[in-house]
Amino acid sequence: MAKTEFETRSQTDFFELTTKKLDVGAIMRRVVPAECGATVVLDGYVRQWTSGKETLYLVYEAYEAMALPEMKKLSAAAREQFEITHIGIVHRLGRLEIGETSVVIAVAAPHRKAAFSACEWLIMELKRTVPIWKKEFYADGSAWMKGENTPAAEHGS
Amino acid sequence: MSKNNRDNICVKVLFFGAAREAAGTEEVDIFTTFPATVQTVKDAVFSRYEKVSLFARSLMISVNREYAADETAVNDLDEIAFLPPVSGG
Repeated sequence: MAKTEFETRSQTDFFELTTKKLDVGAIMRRVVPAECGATVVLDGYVRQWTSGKETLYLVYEAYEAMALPEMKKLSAAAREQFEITHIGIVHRLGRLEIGETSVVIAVAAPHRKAAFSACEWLIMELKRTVPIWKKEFYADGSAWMKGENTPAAEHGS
Repeated sequence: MSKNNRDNICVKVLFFGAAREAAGTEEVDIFTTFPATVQTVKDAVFSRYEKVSLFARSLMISVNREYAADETAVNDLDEIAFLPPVSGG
């Protein structure tokens, strides 16, 4: 008998950093548990224009040994707040061209509303706490980006 | 400094992003004496890498891969990372 769509998919959470191109469709299809009815996916990609300034490409780097545990912590915190069952987060590192996917967050839930809320919360917290850095390269120079609401202020140092 | 002195400790300091570029290195061993805190390590790093001290106000510090405050104690062989404001996503 042919396996159902559910039986062929991964049933576990995953957190990954990679320099390889991200296939959003393939990543989101890994988060399709049988008890769920919806998977919400964020496809974050490299923006060309920011407030009139043109980005040529950008480079991501991470403190990998800390970034992966931080992603797991976020996922545990998300499960406490939202009625969700599975989470997959994949972040790309290295040089990315305009339009290429930098981050994929896929969240599955029995009902879609919790998945939407959890996905938004996860990307917000990822940008605030997971040790990954982005350097933008413009036609006229380069700059390290600063995250919003990062914990620097909280530690007051 | 005597190698046999049990009050001497060595921590591994890692730099990332803008802090790595300012330091001109990814990693350095910092020697200090016990007891020591994150602040002790920061002071040692800032005096050795003046450009890194320009980031002092915005830097976050982790000890063994956990965010830490200035008063957090550090021990021999700890891994201390200097983290500029993160910007993933």
